Amino acid sequence: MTISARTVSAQAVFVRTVAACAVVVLASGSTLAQPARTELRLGVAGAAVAGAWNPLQVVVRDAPGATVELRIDAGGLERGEVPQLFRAIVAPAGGVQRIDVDLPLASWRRISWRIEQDGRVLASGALGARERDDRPLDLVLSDRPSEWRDAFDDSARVIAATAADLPARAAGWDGVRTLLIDGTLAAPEVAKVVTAATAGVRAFVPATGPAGYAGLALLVADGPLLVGAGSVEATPEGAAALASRIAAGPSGWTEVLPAALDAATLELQPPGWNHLPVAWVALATVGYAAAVWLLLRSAGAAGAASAVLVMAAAAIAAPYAAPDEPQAERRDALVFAAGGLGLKLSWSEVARLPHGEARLDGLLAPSDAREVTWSDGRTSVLLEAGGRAAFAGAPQLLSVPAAVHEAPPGVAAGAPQALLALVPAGGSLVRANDAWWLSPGQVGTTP
Amino acid sequence: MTRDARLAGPVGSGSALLLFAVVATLLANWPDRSTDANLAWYAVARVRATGILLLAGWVGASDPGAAPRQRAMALIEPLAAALLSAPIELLAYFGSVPAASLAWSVAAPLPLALAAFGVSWALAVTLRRVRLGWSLPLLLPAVAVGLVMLDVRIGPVLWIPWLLPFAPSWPAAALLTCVSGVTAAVLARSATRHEEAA
Repeated sequence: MTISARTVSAQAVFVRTVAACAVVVLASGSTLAQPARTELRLGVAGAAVAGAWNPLQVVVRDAPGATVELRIDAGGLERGEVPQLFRAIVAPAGGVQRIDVDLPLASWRRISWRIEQDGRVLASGALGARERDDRPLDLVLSDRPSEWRDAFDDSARVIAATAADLPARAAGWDGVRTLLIDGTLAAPEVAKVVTAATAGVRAFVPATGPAGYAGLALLVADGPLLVGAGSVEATPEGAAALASRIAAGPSGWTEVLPAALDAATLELQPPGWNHLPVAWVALATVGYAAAVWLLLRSAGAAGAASAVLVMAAAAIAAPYAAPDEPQAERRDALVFAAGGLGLKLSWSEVARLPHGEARLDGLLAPSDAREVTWSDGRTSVLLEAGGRAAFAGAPQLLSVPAAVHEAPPGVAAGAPQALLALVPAGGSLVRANDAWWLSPGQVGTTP
Repeated sequence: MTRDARLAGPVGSGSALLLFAVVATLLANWPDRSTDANLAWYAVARVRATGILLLAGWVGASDPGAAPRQRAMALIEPLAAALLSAPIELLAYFGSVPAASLAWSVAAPLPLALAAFGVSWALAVTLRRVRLGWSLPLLLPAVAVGLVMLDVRIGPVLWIPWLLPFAPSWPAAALLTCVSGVTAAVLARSATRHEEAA
């Protein structure tokens, strides 16, 4: 989904109108006369996937300090409105400025956005519930994408894309299931294809191809390549062959990703506080009450004075009942490693004693539909007293460290029970760099 | 009455009951697992403020024909109960780390006690003068319920004891200060008159 507002000639406007995306351009018709150019793009190739991380790109020209607000209503009939807000400020400089992030999109009722400068709306737009789609994308990079349509089942969400549409970060590939490249368009960067595969995408690249495809062909020179949570395979000849390959099932970790994450999340110990033991509290309070009572009842004026002293001492000692931190956090991560690269899926939980806003580093996806704000690279959530919230971090690409490379096959001590069933024969589950690394055996070297 | 007896006398079973209630509430709500949030203060503050108000109301309404000096001594009981229970509320407050005003929650029950004492005393004296003293056990709770309903209608919390610790406000502070000031002034004046007459 793309929205643009730019100063262009009437002819250019006409050409754009005749072309495919004119409807979206007209959605911001009032901004056409504005000198600034803005463009907002959500999702891979303009297709946003509900319930997944999606790339968000905003390009602003000559609008220093403009603010970008994207509001997601993650509510429903029962919950009512649940606003989730992304806010960013464009760098205070002229020329072309970009904001490029990955956002978790809940199953939305409505998504609306607005780009403003000094109270003037440069661009705005919205997506309704009808445009919500939680099916993963099957991307086809081909000059004849329709020829590959039959390779996917009828319910698949097949999108024609170009090399420029492909996300650079692992989180951007969260909503993509398949990447098919048949070699008829300009070749995408090898790094993007490897990132896609590491993120759990099943990538098909031509084993032979025109100039520019040498790097991609090298990936599958020795047959299918397991990398991170996904794989890179040679593009078969024709849609029928591709269909049978797809029907044969995914390679890599793709199939177990959601179950593994759910299982690992359950193993996370919830964050807590170092409360004063209840026995100490009982001893202190009962002792205090008995002491002041007895002093007042039996010892006369001296007792009353002593009771005042005991009361003062108790008041002075009371702050020692405070826990070290009113806000507790716990984080953990699971990395699916293969081919020298790993896909890191992290999750965290925050618990807060006082009512108020908890701020967490990074843009995080709440595990349930709740009100959050993403701003300045942080996630803010309002918690009631004693409230807690769980989040998932954006998927990240990592190199496999030496500790994992050198780990013998098997399971490390203290590994979460829920993950043991996922370790394949000859595979390993080890702890390194504050994460559990799940690998199918030889983790290989980075392609 | 000796000086010692005067000191010990007012701090009677009412204060003991309040202390017991506050301590029991604290222990019942203090978490025994680190993953449980400590919400003890919210319960303790409610019980303490409500207990002090009930105690002050009961003391104010009992024996409306007592000598002014005795009445003033009776007032010591709810005030002493408020002071004695304050450290326990402090303990609960620091353990729960609430986003609330400590000064307000600890101090507000004092003027609340004085105001409740004054209102119940005024009601008891009025009913006694019109020879309806027998209806006090019925009218006092009815007036209390009416005042709570009035506060709910008004909007901001002014005197509802189980909400007051969590809702600091200038109107509540002003109102409680005024009513407790009037109570103190009337008590002092009647005591002075009584001494002069004696």
